[in-house]
Amino acid sequence: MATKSGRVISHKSEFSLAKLFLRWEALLILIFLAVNVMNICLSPYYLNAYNLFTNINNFMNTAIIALPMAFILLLGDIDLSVGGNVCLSATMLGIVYNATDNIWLGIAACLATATLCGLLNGVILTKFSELAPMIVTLATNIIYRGLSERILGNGSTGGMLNVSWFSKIFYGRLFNLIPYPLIVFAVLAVVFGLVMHKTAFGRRMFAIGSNKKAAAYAGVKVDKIRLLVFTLTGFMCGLSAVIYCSKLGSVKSDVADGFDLEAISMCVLGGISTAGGKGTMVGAVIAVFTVGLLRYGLGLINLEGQTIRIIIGALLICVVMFPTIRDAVKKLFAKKK
Amino acid sequence: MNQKTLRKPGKIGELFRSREASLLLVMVLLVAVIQWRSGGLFLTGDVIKNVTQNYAHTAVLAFGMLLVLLIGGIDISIGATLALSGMATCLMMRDGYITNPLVAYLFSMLVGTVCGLVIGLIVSKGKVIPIIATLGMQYVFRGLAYYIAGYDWVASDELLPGYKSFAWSSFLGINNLVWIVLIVFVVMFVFLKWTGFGRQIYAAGSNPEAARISGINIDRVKIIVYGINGTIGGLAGAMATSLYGNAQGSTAMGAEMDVIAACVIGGVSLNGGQGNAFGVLLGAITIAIISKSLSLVGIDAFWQQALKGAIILVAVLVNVLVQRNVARRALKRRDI
Amino acid sequence: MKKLIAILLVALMAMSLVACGNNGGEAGEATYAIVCKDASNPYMLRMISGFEAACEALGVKSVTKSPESATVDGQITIVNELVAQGVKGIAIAANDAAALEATIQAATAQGIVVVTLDSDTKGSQMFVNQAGVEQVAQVLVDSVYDMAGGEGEFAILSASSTATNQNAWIAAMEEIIAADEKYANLTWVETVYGDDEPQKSTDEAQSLMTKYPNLKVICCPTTVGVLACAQAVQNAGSSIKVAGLGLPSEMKDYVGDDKVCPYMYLWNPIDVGNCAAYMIDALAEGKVGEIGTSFEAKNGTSYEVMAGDPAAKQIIVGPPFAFTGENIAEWAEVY
Repeated sequence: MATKSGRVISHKSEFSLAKLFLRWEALLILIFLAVNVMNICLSPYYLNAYNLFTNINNFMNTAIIALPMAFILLLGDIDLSVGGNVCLSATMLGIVYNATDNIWLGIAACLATATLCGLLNGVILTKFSELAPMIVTLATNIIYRGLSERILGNGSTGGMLNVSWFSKIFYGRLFNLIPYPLIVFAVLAVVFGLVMHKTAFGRRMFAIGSNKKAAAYAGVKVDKIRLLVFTLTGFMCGLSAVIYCSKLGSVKSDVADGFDLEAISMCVLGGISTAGGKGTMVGAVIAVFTVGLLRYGLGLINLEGQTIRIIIGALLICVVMFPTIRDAVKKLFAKKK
Repeated sequence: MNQKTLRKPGKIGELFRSREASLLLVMVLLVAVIQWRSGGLFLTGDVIKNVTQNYAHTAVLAFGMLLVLLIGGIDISIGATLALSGMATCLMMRDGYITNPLVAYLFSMLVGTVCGLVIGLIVSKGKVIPIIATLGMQYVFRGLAYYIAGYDWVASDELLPGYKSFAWSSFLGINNLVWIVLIVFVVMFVFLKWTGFGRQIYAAGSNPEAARISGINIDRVKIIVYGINGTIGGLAGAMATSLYGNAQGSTAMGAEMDVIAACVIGGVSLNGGQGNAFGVLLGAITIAIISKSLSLVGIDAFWQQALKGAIILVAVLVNVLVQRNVARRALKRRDI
Repeated sequence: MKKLIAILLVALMAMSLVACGNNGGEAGEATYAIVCKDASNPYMLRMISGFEAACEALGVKSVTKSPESATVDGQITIVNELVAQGVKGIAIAANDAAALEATIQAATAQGIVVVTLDSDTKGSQMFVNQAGVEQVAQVLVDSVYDMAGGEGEFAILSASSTATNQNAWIAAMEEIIAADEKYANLTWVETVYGDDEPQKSTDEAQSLMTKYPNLKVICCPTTVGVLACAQAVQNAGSSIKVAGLGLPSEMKDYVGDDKVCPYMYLWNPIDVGNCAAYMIDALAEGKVGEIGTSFEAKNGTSYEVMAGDPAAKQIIVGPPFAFTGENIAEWAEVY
């Protein structure tokens, strides 16, 4: 049970209740509850289902990226180009739609662009496997966003919302309550979770993340899997871009700025190690909502955006440091005994 | 294979096979293309002065990042450290607590050092992976840079005249900021090459386990390295604010990416243990040339971003190809 | 696993208890909110102070919000948060001319008054315009014309390429120059973007000086760019003049007859913020008339209600004001 949790518990504990608490996910759930309690105490407006869903909907763009990012981190890789990718594919959606007056062609172009961008990352990284993914995706991020800047110039592309059903992608709600992007996210989260934990593919990803060389010797096709995961991330960027277009109805070249680090911090808070080989999808999903709702709660008491970031940054570090602190405290008690 | 290449390479041969040589080649080519495309505008006194002056603080940051990368770490909060220390210094100056430019520089370095030590402690004692520790602290430092100033700027006329003029005056015909870069470079070069602690840094980066067994206190190395990186971040904060004559919360937003790119182009491995100060100097110059020249060559303003990314990517890829070639030749020699 | 569930249930119960105990909340007092483009920008800060002052005079609470960076996405989140709080009015400096429409409609549907200030967007009931686009473009073109001595090369150093106001002004400048024979001898060499960042703005300003040795004027319609540009030109000892829009307090060192920037323009951001709050108040009370009528704010100033684009209506707070060597010191104290 403990082997797949966010942090490996090296010591053996007889006391099973404590062991449960030591699981990363349990810690996360506690934080999640704490955030909610705090929000409820801070603002009387928090417990309004309709508004709550409106604001959950606002971070679904990033949340959808966090799912494939979990795969990437699991492999021990990183992808800093997702922001640029979302921006470029959203641009393509607008451009192609305006050129052909066909929203389906626009969506197809968007998904194709995004997948291609992801594929490009994957090809470079597998052909030049000695290169760090960080520097490659850093450069491609600049390229993708730069291309969008080239295409749009100082203007923007829009008009997608003239197609009435297209605006429903973001603004539509099931039972007049649950926004569609949230449903999309929920379904995808389940699919990604199953792939990660229940399939051979998932096990291979864990293997690559814990020890790339050993995995390769054991017959895992490392390059093929990395290529696939980067391409999949690209495709998901396209999906996020479609939702984004539906949300904004107008695309400029500053769309999705800073997406990469946000998605990464959600995954890490969820217990997925950037060193690879560790983590659960459940953790990532709880973390997505923890960060999102914390932001919402702090927004409801009207803290400045930058102040909210201070709190999120500090929370991230404290949570990740928690196992170390816990061990230190344990040692202290052990000594006293 | 002909007879000539089979000979044991001499000193010169070795020099040409080094990473720095391939980078130098890329750089010369780049400059030649720019010089040609810009109609001879690039290699002029004014432009060289502007490039070196405007990118001095980026170059200084690259030396700090070198140390961090050498121990296998990374610091994506360095732009925020720069902004925070620069902002704190300028606020102290505005409110009259600092009345001497030198004190201002020292204070900024002090703030930077504190930031760096905090990261060092989180990474070593808190056992947090560097990218996460610095991602979190980036949010914190950047937010603080806005917060302590009440979201305002420190305006030009609120700074000491001597503080601003320092960045724009020269000594022996070379801009003061460029002197700082040269000094930091020499110190770094000597530090890494000829001191025991420098060797400890390489050891800790290339094989932490072996280093620990051989008695190196890895935690201590980490804390000191992040501390030095912070000091340099603070120094760069003072350089940037004195150069631009004001302090903004958004100063150097995203600078860390330029800095990391400079290091990687300069042959520093993100896996630790590999890289040197000379390569980083070349890498920093390359990044400065790329950023500055694109607006000079008459390239459409909207192409600049994409091209910058493409050049960084190509520079990194070419470097890999050259290294592979070198490695293959070395292997062949060994076979014979 | 059972124990885990038990713990969670206990925690949930505790949570709901707290929730029940705290559901009263403060309500009743009206709140007006101002949503800025991004955090650190002195210009926005002055606008906020004006807005707050007017709210105080009106006896309503005021709230200031700004996204982490100048994107419309962050503003959508903020407006949604404000709707959830049930504020009475929102004044927003939009980061995009179209993308906020659906969000604003949702707010309006809840009975919230939404006006735009500084930058307009679709869906807004009223745009509190700091100065007409043509007016701004006209004074910029005229200052370029004047500083260049009627002929010669000039360039524009703008903010980022996605900045809506700057793009509108630059487009209007193009039209004005094309329309009038008077400006035929002015050569517009290039428009560059400094991204409202000191390093990039300085780089671009210096590149312009290198590339165009005959350049006479650099025009910067952005408070960040004009500062970096003035500094770069002054330190290069160049004879180029800098025209543009700048904050007096930031530009004090550079404005004057014998300095790099003989004069520059801006409007009073405090007045813009002020007027937006009074406008929300008047709209909430239904006191704003049709296009063509006059609107009197509660502080006594009156404005003409005009047709807006893309907002339904607009008022113009005032023409751009010139800062010269004589009045700069005085205004630097104000904003």
